Amino acid sequence: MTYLFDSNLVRAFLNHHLLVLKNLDRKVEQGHEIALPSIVVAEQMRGRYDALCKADAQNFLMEQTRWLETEAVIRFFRTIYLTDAGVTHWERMAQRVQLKKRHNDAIVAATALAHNAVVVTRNTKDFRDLLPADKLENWIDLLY
Amino acid sequence: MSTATATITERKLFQIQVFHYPAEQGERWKAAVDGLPVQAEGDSREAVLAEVQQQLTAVLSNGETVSLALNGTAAKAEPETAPAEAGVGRVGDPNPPPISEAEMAEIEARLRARGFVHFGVFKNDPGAFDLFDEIERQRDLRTFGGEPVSE
Repeated sequence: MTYLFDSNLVRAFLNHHLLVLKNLDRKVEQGHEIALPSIVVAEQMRGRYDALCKADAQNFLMEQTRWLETEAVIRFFRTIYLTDAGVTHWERMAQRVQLKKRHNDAIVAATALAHNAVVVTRNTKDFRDLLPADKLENWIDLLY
Repeated sequence: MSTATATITERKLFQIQVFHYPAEQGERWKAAVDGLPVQAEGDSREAVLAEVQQQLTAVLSNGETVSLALNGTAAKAEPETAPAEAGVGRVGDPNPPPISEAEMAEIEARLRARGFVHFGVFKNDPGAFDLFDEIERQRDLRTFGGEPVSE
């Protein structure tokens, strides 16, 4: 099974969150793969590029280091791209769901559906109506 | 267990937990809706889903959803955010045992051996996480369904 990290899981991973690391260890030992949806990669890189472009002399090197570290993390994980099937899922969500949803959450969910993957996020309620329960896990608060 | 989706009037969608298990003659099926007094049991998946849909329609036609403010007055239901639900997502242990330093060291060693060397890379750099707050803010600005977020 492929597990897709949402942005808040990347944050917890980079912040050495103990339960996230324990869940990660268990899943990897079971042979599962951890990957990043392309929209999460884009969000990370856009943020780092923006920070670097806005940096002054006092913080340029610090932002450059953060950018390089982020690039290294992204290179380590496989990026899972949105496909035509994923776009179809996304469009159906936009037509079907009546509660307000965030497009990037829907893109993460659609990527998971198209690749039969599980989304790992703390914001499980944001994915309500977007994913079935068995495609959603919260490694920050729950042990699997 | 599997999950099915039922559509009631006005295209409201419900996640339904569907179970089946062996019985003396064939198998039995059960279906239930989280958070609502709706469940059914029968000889086929189709039968229990039809029963659940019928019960859901009945339950919803006799009920309403309100939000209660702290002073006890009914407030307008908030359509933008789904209510927090303990049952959203796969069930895990909400009270995991504490992780000892020794256990954590073993976990870290196993992860590093598998190439996971970047965990905690920003642990001592709180400013590095401003990015993630901005990501959430940007996500809030681009939505569909319900009322748009004011900028």
